[in-house]
Amino acid sequence: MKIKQIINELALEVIVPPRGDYEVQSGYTGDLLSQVVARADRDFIWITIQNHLNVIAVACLLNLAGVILAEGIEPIPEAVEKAREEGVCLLSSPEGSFELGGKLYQLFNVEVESCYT
Amino acid sequence: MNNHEVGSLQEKLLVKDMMTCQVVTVPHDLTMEQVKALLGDMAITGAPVVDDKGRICGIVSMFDVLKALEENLLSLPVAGRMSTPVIVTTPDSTVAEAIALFRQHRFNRLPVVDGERVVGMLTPGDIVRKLANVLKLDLVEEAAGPQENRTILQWAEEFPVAAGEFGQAGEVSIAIKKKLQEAGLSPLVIKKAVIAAYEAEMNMVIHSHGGAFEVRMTPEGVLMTARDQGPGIEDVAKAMEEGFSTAPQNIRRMGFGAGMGLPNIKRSVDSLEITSRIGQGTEVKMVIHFQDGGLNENKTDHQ
Ligand SMILES: Nc1ncnc2c1ncn2[C@@H]1O[C@H](COP(=O)(O)OP(=O)(O)OP(=O)(O)O)[C@@H](O)[C@H]1O
Ligand SMILES: [Mg+2]
Repeated sequence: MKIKQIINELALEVIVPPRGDYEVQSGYTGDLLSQVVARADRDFIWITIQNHLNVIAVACLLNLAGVILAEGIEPIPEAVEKAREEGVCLLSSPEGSFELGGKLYQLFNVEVESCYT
Repeated sequence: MNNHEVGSLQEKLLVKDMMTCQVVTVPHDLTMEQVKALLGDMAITGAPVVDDKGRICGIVSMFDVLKALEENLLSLPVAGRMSTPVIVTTPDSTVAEAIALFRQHRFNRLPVVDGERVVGMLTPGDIVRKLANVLKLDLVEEAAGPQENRTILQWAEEFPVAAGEFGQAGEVSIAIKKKLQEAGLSPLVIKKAVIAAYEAEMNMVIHSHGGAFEVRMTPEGVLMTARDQGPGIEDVAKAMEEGFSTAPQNIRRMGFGAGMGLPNIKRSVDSLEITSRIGQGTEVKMVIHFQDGGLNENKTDHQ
C-alpha cells in the first residue's frame, strides 16, 4: 500500500509530506515509546497520541513510513520542524487510534485479498 | 562531518583526483596464457584490453583466466574471452558518478578513458582511501580475498548527553544513525545499533544525572558505551526485567516508563554489560558484531 493512498483513503491532514510515494509495509498503534521501538519496524506507519520530539526521533531511527497523530492532536512546532529536518512524514486526523487503526487494517486486508482474486 | 558534507565532497572530488595513473593494459592479440602470466607478474587481478591503436576494447580479469583454464582454452586470444562492452568513466566525472556505476554494475574496477585511450584505473578502494585521507580517518583494510575491495573505516566519537533534556533527546541516536549510514553498514546492523543507542540515551536523559555516549567502529563491529554520573541502578537484574520502571508520573505521560528500554537493548545487541555503583554511576556497554562484513547491500532509505 502506497503512503499517498493511505493519506487519501483515511483523509489525513498532511503536516510534513512524505518524500515520494513509497510503499508502506504495515502499521503499529501505541503510545509507549519503548513498546513501539520493540514492535514497529522499517516502513511501518505509526498511530499515536504522543506529541513531543521523541516521537519524531523514534520514527526517524526506525525508518518508519510516517506518523499519524490521532484525536486531532496538533503537533508542537518543534516536532514539525524536526520532522521536516529528518524527512519524517507527519500526518494527523481528528479520529481516534481505534478508528484509524481499524480503517488502516481494513485497507491492508483488502489489498491482500485482491492479490488472490 | 555529516552526510551532507560527504555527499557534496563526492560531488566536488573528481575521478582524476583519485584514479591510479599507471595502468597495465593488455594488447588484444595476447593469448589467455600470456594474460595469466602478465597479471601474475604485475600482481593485479584485472586489466583493460586495448587494440592496435591503443583504444580500449574490453576488460579481462583473473576470473576470465580461471574460466579459460577450467575449459582448457588458455591458448585462445584474449579478444574472444574478455568482457565487452566495457563500462568506463572519464577523468572529469565526479566521484559520485563513479560510485553510482560501481553500485549499478557491481564490479571492482573502472577504466578511466580520455576519448578511447585508457588514462587511469579506479577501484572502490581508491575512493575509500582518498576520502579517508580527506576526512583524516584511520583506515583499516580487511583481509584480502573475495572482499578485497571492502573496507571499514575505524573511528570513535563521544557525544555528551544532558540529564532531563527532553528537547534534545534522541539527537545523539540520530547523529549515530547518520554516522553508521555513512560508514556503509547494513540496514540490520544500523537498526540494532540505533535501537540500543536510543534506549541507552533515553535512560541517561530520564534516569541519570547526565553523561556521555561513546561509539567506536572497528572492523569487527560497533561498540557503544553509555556512561553516566549517577545515581546508579540499585538492582541491575531487576532493572532488566520487562515492565520494571521507576520513571516518574510526568515522564510516563510522555510514553516513557514501559520498562522496555533495557530489554530492547538486550534483544538488539550481541553483548550487553551493565556495571553500576550507587552514588557513582552506570556504564552500559553494548557490542554488535558484524557478520558478512556488516556492510550495506545497496538498500536506500526514504529518509
Ligand atoms: N542510566 C541509568 N541510571 C539509573 N537508573 C537507570 C538507568 N537506566 C535504567 N535505569 C533503571 O532501570 C529501569 C528500567 O530501565 P528501562 O529502560 O528498561 O525502562 P524505563 O526507562 O523505565 O522505561 P522505557 O525504557 O520503557 O521507557 C529504569 O526505570 C531505572 O530505574
Ligand atoms: Mg528506558
